[in-house]
Order: sequence, then C-alpha cells, then structure tokens
Amino acid sequence: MRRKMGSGLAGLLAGIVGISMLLSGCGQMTGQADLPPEIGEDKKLILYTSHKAEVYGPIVKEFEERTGIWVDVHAGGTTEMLEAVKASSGKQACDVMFGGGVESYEAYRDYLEPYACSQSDLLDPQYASPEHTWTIFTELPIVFIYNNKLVSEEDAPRSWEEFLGDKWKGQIAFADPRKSGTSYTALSTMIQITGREGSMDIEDTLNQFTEALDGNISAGSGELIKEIGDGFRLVGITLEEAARKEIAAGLDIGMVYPLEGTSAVPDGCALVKGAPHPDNAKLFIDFTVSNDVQNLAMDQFCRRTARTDLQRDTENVHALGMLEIIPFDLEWAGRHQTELLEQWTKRID
Amino acid sequence: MKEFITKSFKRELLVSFLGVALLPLIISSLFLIQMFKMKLDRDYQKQDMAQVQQIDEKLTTLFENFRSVTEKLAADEQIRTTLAGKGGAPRSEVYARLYQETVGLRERAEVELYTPDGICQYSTGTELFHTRLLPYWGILKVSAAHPDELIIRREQKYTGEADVLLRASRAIWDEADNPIGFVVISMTAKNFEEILRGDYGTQDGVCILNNFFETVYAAGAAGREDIGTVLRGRLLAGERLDGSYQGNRVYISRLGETGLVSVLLRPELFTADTIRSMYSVLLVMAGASLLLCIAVSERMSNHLSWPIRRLNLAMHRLQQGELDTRLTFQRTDEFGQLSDNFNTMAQELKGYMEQQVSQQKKLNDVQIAMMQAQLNPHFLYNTLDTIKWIAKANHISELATLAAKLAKILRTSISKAAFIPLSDEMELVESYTEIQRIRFNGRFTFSYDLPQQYAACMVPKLIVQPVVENAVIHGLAECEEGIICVRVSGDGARLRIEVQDNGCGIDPERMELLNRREWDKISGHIGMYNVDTIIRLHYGEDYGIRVEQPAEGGTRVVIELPAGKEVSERV
Repeated sequence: MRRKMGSGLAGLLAGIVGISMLLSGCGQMTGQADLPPEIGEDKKLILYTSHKAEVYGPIVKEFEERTGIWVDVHAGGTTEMLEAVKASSGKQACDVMFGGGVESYEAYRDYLEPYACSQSDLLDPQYASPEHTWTIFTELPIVFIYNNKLVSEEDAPRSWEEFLGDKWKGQIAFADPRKSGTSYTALSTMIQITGREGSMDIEDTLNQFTEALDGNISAGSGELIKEIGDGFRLVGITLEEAARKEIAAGLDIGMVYPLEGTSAVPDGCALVKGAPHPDNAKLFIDFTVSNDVQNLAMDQFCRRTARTDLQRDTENVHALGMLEIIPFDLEWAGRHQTELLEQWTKRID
Repeated sequence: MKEFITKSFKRELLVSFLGVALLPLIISSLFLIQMFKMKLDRDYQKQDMAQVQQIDEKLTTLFENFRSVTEKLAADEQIRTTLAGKGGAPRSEVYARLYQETVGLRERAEVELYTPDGICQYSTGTELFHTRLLPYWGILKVSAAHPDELIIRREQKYTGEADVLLRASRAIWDEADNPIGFVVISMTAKNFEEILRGDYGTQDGVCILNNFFETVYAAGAAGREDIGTVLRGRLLAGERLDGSYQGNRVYISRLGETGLVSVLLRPELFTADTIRSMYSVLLVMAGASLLLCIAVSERMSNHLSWPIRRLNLAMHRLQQGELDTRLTFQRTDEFGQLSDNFNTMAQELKGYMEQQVSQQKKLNDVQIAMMQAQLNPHFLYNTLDTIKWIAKANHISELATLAAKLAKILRTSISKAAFIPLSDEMELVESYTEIQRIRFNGRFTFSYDLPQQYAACMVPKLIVQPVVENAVIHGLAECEEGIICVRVSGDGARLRIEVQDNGCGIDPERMELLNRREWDKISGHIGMYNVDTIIRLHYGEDYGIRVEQPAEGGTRVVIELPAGKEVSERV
C-alpha cells in the first residue's frame, strides 16, 4: 500500500514537471511566417578561396544572383586552403578551390578532379593545364615598382640583374617566399631569367639577391607596396595587379615591366575530388572564365584575362618598358620549391 | 544513505519535512517562473511583431514609391529623347523633369539616369559624380534582361571603400525597343538610417538583407556584428533562423516582392541575468525553508523523542534495580499516560520485591533455627551410647538393646543423606521393631524378605518405617500374636515393598479414602501421608502408597517406587 502511494506521488510530480516543461517550450517564438525555406543540397556550393574578399566577393554574389545557388565561402591563404582541400578529401566538405598560383595546384593534383570547362579551348595555352586538372582564371605578370619621389624615372630598375648587385642594397622590398606564393613566383622567375646561361643556378642568384636584400623582408605583398609608397624602401618586386590597383587608388609609385621579360603565372580554379555538389562546382568554374567575369577582372581588378579571345589593351596606367611574357617553367618551379626555400632559409635566418 | 536516514527518528522526520516543504515550493516556483516568462514573452512578441510590421510597411511604401517614380521617369518623353541622343531638351530641362518627379524621394535616395553603357548622365546627388556601372554585370544586366520591371539589388562599390548600396533600376526603351538607358535609384546606409530612425529602440537592432542574406543595411545591435552572415550561416547549416542571437530575439520577415528581408533584433526579456536572479530568489527561499525544516524537525523530534529517551533511561535504571525511578512528564498526551503507567508499574514492582524480601527473611530465620536444632541429635546419640554402656555394665540387657537400637535409628535419621540403600532402611525398620517389641512385651513378630538384587536400591530415607509403625500401632492394637512381614519384590524397573500384618484389618471405607488419597478426611496416619507425599514429590503421580485387604485378613500396605532411582536433592 505504501509503495503504491509512493509511485502515485512520483507520477504526480513528474506530471507537474512535465507540464511546466511543456509551457516553457511554448514560451519560445511562435513560428514566423514567410521565412525562406531550407536550402536544398542542389542549391549549395562550398568554395575554398585564397582570393581577397574584394575579388571573390563580387564574383560569388553575381554567381548567387544568376544561378540561385548559395555559396558557402571559406577564405584563407593559398597554402592554407589547399591544405584544407587535402584534409577535406573524402569528407565531402569542399567543392571548388578558387585562387592561388597554379604552380601550387600542381602539388595538390591528387586531390583535384580534372574538369574541362566550357571555354577551355579559349584559355591561354601557355599556362592552361593540358589535363584540365585546373582552370586558369587570370594571368598575373610580375613587375618592378619604385617610389616615384625618391627614385627618378631614369634611375628606376629596368632589369632583373639590377636586383643582384649592390645598386639597391638594403633598399629592396620583397616578401618572404615561404609565406607569399607571389614572392616565390617572383624568386623563381628571377632565377629562371638570371641563372647563368639558362642553367637556372639557384645558389648563385640566391647568394647575390639575399645579399642585396641585406636581411630586409616585408611581412607580405600588401605591406611591400606600402613600404615603397612610404619611401621606407625604394624598389620592390610584386604583381602587376597589386601595383596597378594601388596606383589607381592614388599611391605615388612607378611601375616597370622588366627588360628581360617576366612571368605571368595565372591563378587558378579547380574542382575538388569527391565534391559534394559537383554540378554546381562546374557551373562556378565555367562562370569564372565567362566573358562577364573575365571582363570584370580586367575592368575592376586590374587583372589580365586568361582568355585569348578577350585580350585587350587595358593599359591606362603609366609604366616603364613593355610587358613581355617569358615562357616560365611552371614544372621546374613546382619541383624546386622545397629545395629553393631551404636554400633561402639558410641565407636569411 | 537510506540506512543512515532510517537509523534516526530525527533524520526521518527531517527528510519528511523537507519533502513536504521544499517540493511544493520548488515546483510551484518553477511553474510560476515559466508561466511568467511565457506570458511576458508572448506579450512582447506581439509588440515586437507590430514594430516589425511598421518597419516593413515603411519600406514597402518606399519601394512602391520607387516603382511609380521610375515608371514615370522611364515613360517621360523629354528624358527618353535626350537619352536616345536625339538632341532633345537641354540638360537643365531634363534635370527639371527629374527633380519634379522625385519630389519627396530625393532626400531618401539618389536618383540617376544612366546610358546603356553604364555611364551616369544625370544625378540628383549633390556631389560631383563620375559613376560608371558595368552593363554586363550586376543590376544593369538584370535590368536590361527584364524590361518593364523594377529590379532591386544589393550592390557594392568595388572601387574605394566597399560601400554597400541598395539599388533599384528600370530600363528605358525607345519605340523600337532598343535600350536607351536606365533609371537607377541608390540608397546608402545613411538614407536607411534617416528612414528608419525612431522605428527601433537604442537597444534594438535593425538589419536589411537581400535574398541571399547578405547585409544591405545594419544598425544598432545588428550593426555590431554582421547578423546577415550569422543568419546566412544558420540557413546554410539548416539551423533555426529565428533562434536568439547574442541575447536578442530575432524577427525575420520578407519585404513584399522585393526579395529583401528585414531583421529586427530585440534584447531578450529574460537574459541569463534575470533568470539567474529569479532562480537565486528561489534558492534563497529554498534555503530559508530548509532552515525552517531543520529547526521544526529538531523541535518536533525532541518533543517526540525526548520522552522516549527519558523512558528508555528510566527503564534502564529500573533494570539496574533503582526501583524508586519515576517519570514526571508534564503532559496529557499518550506520553503522559505512558509515564503514569510506568510509574504504576514501578510502584507495583517495588511492593512485590519488598514482599519477596520479607518472605526470604522469614525463611532464613527458620533455616537458622533448624541449623541450631541440628546440634542436639549428636548429643542425644552420644548420650544413648553412654546409656547403652552403663546398662551393659549393670547387666540391664533390655535397656542396653533399647539404647543401641534407638541410637541406630537416630544415626540414620540425622544423617545428611536424603536417600539411603534399601538394606539400611530395612535395618532401621528392624531396629525400630526391636524397640517396639520390648515396649509391647513381644506381642508381635517382625520379619522381612529383601532379595539381594534390591538391597542396594536407593530409596528416600524413612519410607518403610512410618508404614511399619502404622501397622504396629493401628493394625496390631488388640492383637496378642501379631505378625508383621515386609516383602520386597520388583519387575526390574519398579520396586514393590509390601508391609503386611495379621491384625484387625482396615475399615473398607477408610481403605477407599486412603487409596483415593483423600487425606484430609482421614485422621491419624500422618506417617503414611508423609511417605506417600515424599514418594510422589520425588517420582511423580505413578508411584506412592496403596492399601489392600488380603483374603487371609489383616492389612497390606504396598509402597511402589522406581528401582534404584536416586533423585537429586533439587527435585
């Protein structure tokens, strides 16, 4: 009898507690009408990008507006994002990698799914991936810049050789190639051009260049241009795109196309292996090489199109010399990266 | 735990009190808090909804205005001819039309006219303008693709600061359906601020998002962090959109056909702080009632357990022999009655004990007297011995025999042993009959037959002698040639001693009484009574004395008792 009473009492308590829980549940928002419905998987795209927000932002937004696909953007450095692609392989966490020099893509080709985009036959054959492992986006020539106030046009560096002598010793702004992909491309371009009789002698060029740098390394590409503008350093090596953007924004620096010519390694875009939304990913890759995006890159981002049929003279910025693109050995650059950076570390640290 | 509780009455009481006091308190408080929260939430939600509606209406009206103004401008003849490049009106005329149509709208947005190439030609803005929109990108492309429609889009100035704008655009067409330009209305954050000022509190946040949940405008609490990004993240992750955000309730609604979404953030009524303080009040109350419970249960249990402890103690003292222990509870309840009963019991016990003591004392007196009396037989025995020797010396042989036999009887009777061998008893009987024969001048003869196997049987002292005495005194009273014969027989376990005389016999009525053991109705025969009583005390009701009348005359008394059975003194 007593037992029975006990269980009855417990039931009553449980009932009261249950009711109060129920009431507290009702206390939450009553559903709001006209909320957007859940987004289906067919309307999603996961994008890893190493572009700056001002580049990927408009492209992604226009893509969303035109296709109705929601793009989940994860941004970071090139190496960081490619490592993330590597880490996400088999986890269906990433569809597209967008941005970063294509020489970096080469090292991660195992994690990329070849895809021949709709405009693939119109892309610059010098850099386009023959196996369509990646799709090139824009070409980025490497140029010299100088402070317009402290360096006269006549004295401005015109040749890669000038960076190897004592002429600009301690006055050169250069980003750490271990951190900046652009800087590595610049360094390997320098070696490919100045190496003795085309032998691509790493040690000789590195020795001379690091001596000329005199231990001064810029924190990154952005800081590099600022250092020149401030007159903290006199000359520097960077991307044409970055220089032109700063000049357009009013920074008083000069730009030089190197005498011996320069590399114009494109950045790329690639479909990730095991992408959860491969169809949307392909749509996005097609979009990056479409007329509108390539035109936008030229009009707004001071970039050079990767499309052979869209090339046009965009030179509205004063520059010394003429742009001449050398046949840059991408494969060599990729193969020697580790060795070169080790040598670099030895000389700098 | 349970064992710990049930070991003490006080703890049991405390637990019960806690259950009765705390459970209803906590349950009703929780219930109350939830009810209170629900009610307030609902009320405020209604209020918030009204506010959302107000903002939505304001914006919808504004966009309605956009629609009608752009419609009028796109249809304006003068503007169309100018944009088409057919000479048309002078610049000021076009501006006059533009200003005329945009009265009331200009302070809220900038209205501009663009060429099909995206070059801005006319603007109501007060500053110099050199805006260029890309005709293949963004709003102009959509606008060109959708004639006769007002396109509203979130746009960004990609050069310079990344200012976010809301643009509305309508394409202008000539008669031949060729695009000749666009009417574009741009709203900046500043414009939104002016429009929405006063529609939300200082604690609130307002945010306008496009259909992809990208922020068009954010102010107040929504401006601190990009709520658009947060909501977009929720949408992509498939989470609840209107879940609270950083202590704010989130209200989301669509702005008509524009594809825009308005978001209102209101601080939660019940922040973690308020809830915490409510619960701490509950906690304090629970603590107070806990203390009360402890105090009351302490008092209650003392009220109940104090008398029990006292009673326990008193019982203990009583056990120890303190019979004067008394309880004094000044109470009228069951405990009072219990103490009265205890006192009565103790009183009675004391009386009983006193009685016992006095009886024991009396008994002790008797024992002492008896011990004192025991000194005499030895003296008597020695004296008799002396008499025997004096009689022998003086050749008075009968006197010597009397003294010797009497001394023998006396020795047996004063010996400490309660049981003696049957042979000793028979010798004693013989001595006794010797004395009686001298007393009665040899008027009777005595003989006995004791088989050897029974000689050593132990029997209570003096059980045959009183029967023989009875035969001498009563049976042979008037007989000159009396014969008394004692025969011992048995069947192994049972001993049978027969004392037979040839005297006057026994009155049958008297014999009946004797055999029925109605001793109180018979006078005399005290010896027989004693023998019977002794045997039955020692061996039980199966044994004792029986009287028979043999056919040849006289009387036969049969003593029956177990053979060889000695009973310990105690029985």
